[in-house]
Amino acid sequence: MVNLVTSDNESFTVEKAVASRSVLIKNMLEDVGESDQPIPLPNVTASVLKKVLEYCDHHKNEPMPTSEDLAAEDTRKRTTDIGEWDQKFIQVDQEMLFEIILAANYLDIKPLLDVGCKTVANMIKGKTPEEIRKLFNIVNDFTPEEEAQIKKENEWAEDR
Amino acid sequence: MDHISATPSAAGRPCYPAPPISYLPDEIFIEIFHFFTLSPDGIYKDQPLANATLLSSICRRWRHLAIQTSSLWSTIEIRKRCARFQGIAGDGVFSEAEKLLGLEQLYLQRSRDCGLKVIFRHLRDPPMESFEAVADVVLSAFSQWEMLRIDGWNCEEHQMHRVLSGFLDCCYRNPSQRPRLRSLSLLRSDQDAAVLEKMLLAVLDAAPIRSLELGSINLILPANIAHSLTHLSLESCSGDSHITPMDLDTVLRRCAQLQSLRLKLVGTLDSSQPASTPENIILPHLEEMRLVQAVPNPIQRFIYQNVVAPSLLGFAILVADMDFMSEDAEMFQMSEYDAMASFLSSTPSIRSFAYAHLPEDYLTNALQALPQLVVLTFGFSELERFSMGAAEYVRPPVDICPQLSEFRIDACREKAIEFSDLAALKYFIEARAALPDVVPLRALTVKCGMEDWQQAHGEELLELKEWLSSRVELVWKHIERVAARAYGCWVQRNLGWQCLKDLKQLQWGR
Repeated sequence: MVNLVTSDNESFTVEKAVASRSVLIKNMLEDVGESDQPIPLPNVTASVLKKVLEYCDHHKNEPMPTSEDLAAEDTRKRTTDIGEWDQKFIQVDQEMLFEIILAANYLDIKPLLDVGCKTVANMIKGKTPEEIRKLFNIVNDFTPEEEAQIKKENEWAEDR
Repeated sequence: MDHISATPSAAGRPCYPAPPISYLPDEIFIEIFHFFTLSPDGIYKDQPLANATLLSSICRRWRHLAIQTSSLWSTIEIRKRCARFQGIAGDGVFSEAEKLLGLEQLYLQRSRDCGLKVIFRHLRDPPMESFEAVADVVLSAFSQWEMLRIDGWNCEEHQMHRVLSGFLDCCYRNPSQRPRLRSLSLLRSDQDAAVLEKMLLAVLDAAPIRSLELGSINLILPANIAHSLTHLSLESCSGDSHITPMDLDTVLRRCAQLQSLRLKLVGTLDSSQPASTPENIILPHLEEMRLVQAVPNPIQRFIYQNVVAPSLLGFAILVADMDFMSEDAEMFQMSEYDAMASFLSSTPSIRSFAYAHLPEDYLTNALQALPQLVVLTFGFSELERFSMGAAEYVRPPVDICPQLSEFRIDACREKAIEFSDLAALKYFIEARAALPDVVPLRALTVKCGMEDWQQAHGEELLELKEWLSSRVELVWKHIERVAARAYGCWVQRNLGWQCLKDLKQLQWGR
């Protein structure tokens, strides 16, 4: 078992196979060898780690992506498909969604990072700029000159 | 999750002074942008080019990141826009040509030194306005081209010639700028074959092509060019561009570096036996072989009997047509499928097998020849599924391929799979789980048009989906019928009904 300590000082005890879905933790475990020392995760809060560990537990028996898999993703095999379980797992509020993405990035869990990024990409699809701003509460901070340029570019791209 | 113990605390999440999305670092935004620009399942959904423009229209940060990410701007697709937008001009509204030129220049500028994918399609009936000007703009960046695709079904002959001769002219005039064109896709329809082949050979000589896709062109590749190819795809090589087994023999013997070989509707639907060759054709690097072919056909029988591919990982046999009318047809089909099973059993490196329209007995034979198989797929890829409408699903036997851990059903066409076939997956999973020395199925993908199932089996379908999701990693995707219909219109317009009839295409939704 592995003991993980979050930024808000909560402790999680999990199976090694679950924790090792994180390349960061896996490397730390390999570096320190057999040890009872807790692993500090200063960039992850308890609520987020709980969610991340739920993902790792569900996927613990799957083969880890190899460097060949990752290379292949860059070419032909990349897809926007998200598995059913993952879709349900990632149905959270936006704040938690982005926290999960940040945690997956920090902990180096590439499949979880992909699920998060695909989910955000799918949220954007089919929407207008204004709808996207509204969805993510983004302020339109363009200057009038930039607005004019963007209007022109969008007219060029219309119906393409 | 009872093995995970958490000690709750009062610590809450941080308060955000800004929207949560703004806390994502730049590299994650760029990752999201890349997923956003990936093609959706419906290949003819609009707006492939507009994606990058949209991303740069949200706020200053998104715009900065999008503009700095040159790969987002690297696909230049030249085509006419929809008829409803043609001819609008004046009062500050751009004409079609102005829009296209403006957009092309914008993409070229923002792609900076990134390799370009240049695609010419939808340029005829009537011919596109200002084609010369548009071609000139793209040709000005000829040394950036990494991929060139010209869809001859939709281009006038002079347009194809203009692009190819323009590229050659740029290469000769600028010897210091070495072309990096590595992938060339050229699909001929009614253009003169001899002229096109001559230009094609010149392009192959001038550029370091590694991936070559030819449609309706029977080109005997010179040895020096063939030797460099890693990917070869031949399509619609029948009639005046008919390829014989001996043509294929010549080409394959020269393609020693080949990693991928794809044949689609190559050769003729007949039962003649290919001549035997004195030596096997050894393709030591071949990892993928994909045959979308009529059966029987001497082309694939030639392959089965003569090709040795010790590194082959993926093999696909997508049977395009079996309606060959002859007294001997059944016998020759049988002999061809037997040859395939023999080829499969002598290629133990294969881990992935895809099939469509393969009769049940022969599917069983093929799978029995592949005890090491890990991934099994029924159905077609995006483009193939539209040109091969009649593939009916055949259930794989339960007690085959003990290593099989993933099954994919990828069939957009309505009614390709009955609901009872889908429901039978439950039995397949349970029965395999009960078999000794058999790996339980880990992943299942179901991509289909599901409208009819939803209407007729709503509750059952949901229950089945829930059950499957609880047992395997499930990807469950409804493919919209509208995408297929849109493509159907495109095929109708460009290939013509006679061709459709001949190929027995477009049978969805009837």
